[in-house]
Amino acid sequence: MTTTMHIAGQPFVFEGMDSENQRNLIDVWTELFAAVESSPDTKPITVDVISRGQSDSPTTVAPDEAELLFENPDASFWVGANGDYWMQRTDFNCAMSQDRLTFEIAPEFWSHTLFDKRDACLTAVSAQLRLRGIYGFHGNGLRKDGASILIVGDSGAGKTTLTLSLVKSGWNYLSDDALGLTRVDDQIEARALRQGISLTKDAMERWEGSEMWADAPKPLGSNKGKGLVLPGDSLWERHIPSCVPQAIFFCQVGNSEKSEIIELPKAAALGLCLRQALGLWMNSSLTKENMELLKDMVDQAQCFRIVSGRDVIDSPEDTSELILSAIIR
Amino acid sequence: MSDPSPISLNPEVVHTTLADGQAVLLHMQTHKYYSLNKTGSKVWTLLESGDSVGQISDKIAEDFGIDEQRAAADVASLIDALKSAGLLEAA
Repeated sequence: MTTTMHIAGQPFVFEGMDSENQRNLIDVWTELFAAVESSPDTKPITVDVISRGQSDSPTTVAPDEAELLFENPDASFWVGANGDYWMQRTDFNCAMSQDRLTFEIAPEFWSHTLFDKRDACLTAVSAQLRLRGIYGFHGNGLRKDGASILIVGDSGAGKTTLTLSLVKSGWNYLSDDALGLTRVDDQIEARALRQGISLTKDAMERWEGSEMWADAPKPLGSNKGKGLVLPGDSLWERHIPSCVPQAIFFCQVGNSEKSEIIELPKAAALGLCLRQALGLWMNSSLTKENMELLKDMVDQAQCFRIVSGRDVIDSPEDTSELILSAIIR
Repeated sequence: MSDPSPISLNPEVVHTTLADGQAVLLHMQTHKYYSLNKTGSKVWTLLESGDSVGQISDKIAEDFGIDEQRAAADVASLIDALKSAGLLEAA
């Protein structure tokens, strides 16, 4: 049996489905990634899952000639002469090439929190997608009345709150917190990368109670007490797989009654985008490509700072109008 | 005045120029980014093409219609700032 998951328009194909690790990985991916249908001529990426015994040494490791790109306490990244990548952790190794993604998973990987497992998978898949010119980006996407926007900001800047406020006032929804950016016909397209939304129980109740969500939140185990929720039917009805951003709103939380929008110089906007690029520091040629892509996105879009006021929660229609009125269409 | 010794771009710096002529520089080692206005961006491009500080000052004076002395002082000041930030290094 074969399972195909379309992530950011790339078909990831699991063959066999005979190992528990493979099924577990698919479960995590199903919660994590939003499906974005691939075009028929997109080459599949075969996903291999190898189970490692508790005391076994990993076999999916970078060869001696590979160059160390990046190292932190949790993981190291390596690149080979032909551009292949390796990510190595104590409990989880993977190798990435254009058409193949190999995971080697030790049993202790599954005892981590959902947040940690999700993070490891997102890092690996983001690196794989970069090999296909799709760059991970920390932000949300929305569309209404033909206007497509991104909401961007550091963690805690109010991205999810603003996004849910806009969804409540009729906007279509692309993805929360993670997007894949790529070039399509000389434009930069944002694709949904994440299906699940992480938010507090209070926020779940604030935004239409249970109507928007499929189930109760699953504890993430980290990330400021937030839980992972999957979109319910009413949110899925509003889901769009991709958009070409016409405006980028860099958000921050304010304490005024009304939200305020200020136009941002493009160079400042590009700097803020660079802060939100996932895996920007892998190596200088990829950094350059990623930076050029972000530059083209900033050039194609209007850029604003939005300081969220209480209207985001109290009167979403007003916030929506404010945003729509700022965009020249 | 700026040090007249030859300078070169730090190879660890990635740069891009926006449609409005401003540029953004990204330092791969420090992970810091910097923006340059249109004039600064022009100076960076001329440094990239190997022009000397004197040649750059002349071109800036001509392109932006300012006197040569002021152009030389402005270019020297920018180069000092770029050196301090580690964006330029001794050749």
